[in-house]
Amino acid sequence: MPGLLSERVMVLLAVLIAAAALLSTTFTAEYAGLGAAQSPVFFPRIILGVMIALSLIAIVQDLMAGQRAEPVEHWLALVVFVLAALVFANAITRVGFLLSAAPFSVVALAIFGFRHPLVIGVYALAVPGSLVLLFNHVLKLPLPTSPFTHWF
Amino acid sequence: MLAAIPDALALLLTAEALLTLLLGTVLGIVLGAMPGIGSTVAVAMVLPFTLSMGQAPAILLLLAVYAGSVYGGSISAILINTPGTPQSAATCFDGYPMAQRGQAGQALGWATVASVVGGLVSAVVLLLAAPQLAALALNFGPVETFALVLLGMTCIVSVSSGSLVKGLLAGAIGIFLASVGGDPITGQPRFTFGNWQLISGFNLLAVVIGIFALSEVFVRVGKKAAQVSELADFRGIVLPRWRAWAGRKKNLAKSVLIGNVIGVLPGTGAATAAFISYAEGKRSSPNRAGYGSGEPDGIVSSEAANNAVTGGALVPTMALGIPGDAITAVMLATLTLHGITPGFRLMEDNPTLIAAIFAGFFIINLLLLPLGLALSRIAAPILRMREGFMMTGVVLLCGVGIFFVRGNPFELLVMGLAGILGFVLRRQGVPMAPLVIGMVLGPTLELTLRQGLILTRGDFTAFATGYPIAGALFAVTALALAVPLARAVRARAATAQG
Repeated sequence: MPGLLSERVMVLLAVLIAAAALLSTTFTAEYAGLGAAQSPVFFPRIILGVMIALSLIAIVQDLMAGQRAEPVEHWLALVVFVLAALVFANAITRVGFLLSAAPFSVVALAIFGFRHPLVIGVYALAVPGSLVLLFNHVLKLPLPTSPFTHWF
Repeated sequence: MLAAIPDALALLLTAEALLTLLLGTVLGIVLGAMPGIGSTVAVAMVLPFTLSMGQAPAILLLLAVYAGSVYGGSISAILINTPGTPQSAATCFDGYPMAQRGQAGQALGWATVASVVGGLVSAVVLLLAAPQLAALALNFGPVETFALVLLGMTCIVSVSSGSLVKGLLAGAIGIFLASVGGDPITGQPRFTFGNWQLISGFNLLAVVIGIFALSEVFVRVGKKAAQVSELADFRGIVLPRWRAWAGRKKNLAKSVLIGNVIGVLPGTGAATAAFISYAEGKRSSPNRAGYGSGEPDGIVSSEAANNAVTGGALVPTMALGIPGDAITAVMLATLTLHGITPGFRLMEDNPTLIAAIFAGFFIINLLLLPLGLALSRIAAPILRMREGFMMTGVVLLCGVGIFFVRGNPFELLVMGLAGILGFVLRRQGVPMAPLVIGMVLGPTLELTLRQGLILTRGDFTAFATGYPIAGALFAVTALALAVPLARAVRARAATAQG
């Protein structure tokens, strides 16, 4: 049954499995001993139960409708961009805003189809640099700086 | 509320507040005009700038960007046939054909006047309706509040785009995400799995910005660059003369009314209002024959309604703490950063602040006229800017914004993961607004349910039988769920027959 292997069904199935696994963790001894509504897991159990029921209905609906997710035109570009964004987000507090934002801007602009090195270079330095100047020196809300200098 | 107006004006007539209103409206118009940014992302982008401001200027900046961006969306809709914001999609139908006929200035003139009128009336509605609604809700206990929040959630889900089941699922995911961390009554950690960073839960703004702004960028990276229509010849806005309004005022009034009513309903949003108003204008306007081929009434229908939503959507947000749409959910999350908790106590405790916000919102809508006239010529060349510049800037500003929320690298990681989650769920047709609103309302829903169960000694049926207001609200909730379900069943039966 090819519909079973569609992205929509697989994602909903993942939601269902995650909800069921989380629900099972609420029955551990960690939460035992607290009565009914005052138990910390009373409300989450209801919500996780609702999530399981709704994802089951949604799976059946999607199987019946046979709808598929819109195709992604550039998977490789997307994966590289997502990874670059995650690295940028993780690096801000480690190497400072400017040193993480400039390489990210280079990668992002290249993915968006920019090829002129001057355009990419100017943007990668000017935009993050302006943000550092604005926040650090005008608004006095310091962005993280690098371990090498307190300037950026 | 009225007694607080002199103090509120004193708060507004400071250089900082006036400059904020001016800059916020300018920024809103420019960001709104850029296709792909949208009001939610625009509001999220200015978030870090509010952190160095006082309460009133911070809220005014967000409101100015919100109102400005809704108007700004019409500029790109008319000049390049690409709505800057989804709210302006209906404006394309008549705006671009007018621009192709060499009447871009006139088309933007109709859009500007309609937007200003819609926005001003909605500011008056906000001023009059929000305090009344808050006063009514002031008598609510936990049971009534639970019923009210449940109704708000249900309305949001039942009118959100896509399937009802997926909307409900998104709402449940949002409520679950909000339940991660310390239990609100006992403080015991839930679903933290030994990670101490999760004890304070997922930061709402990190999730919201990831879900909306970052996932939007991901969607655009994965897509082929959209074909943009040629920029229409434009030499400045030409405002319509008074005589030109003959036979059109009724359409304007009707559109403003539709926008306000839809705006007050939680979850509907400006795009829905604009399309309903456009459809109503096409049905009842004396100029309906020209709709779709460059009829000014078509622009008025769409623009008056979408700007009228702005004030209406703020009514449940400010009065009850129930966001009217995704944009007001982002604003609600930002307000909490500034130590402001919207809801019925806010009007009672901070009348001067609230009066300043409402009066400021009126001024913002007044500013749309001169700023629209001045900025549209500057905004037009910006429409030629390549998408990559804007989208890279969005990611950089998202990073800055989330860093400032708590200064914690974990929140940046949460934002990135929320972006991926948002991207994956959007591809499956799961609407994002219910997820965010579920996250906003989840803690109140849980707390009031548990408090209510203490009051009724664990008897849930007493929620409906012992509390008449809650009983009535539950009945409306059941109706709000049953109507779209019945409609879907009827549509399926009709499809099967046909």
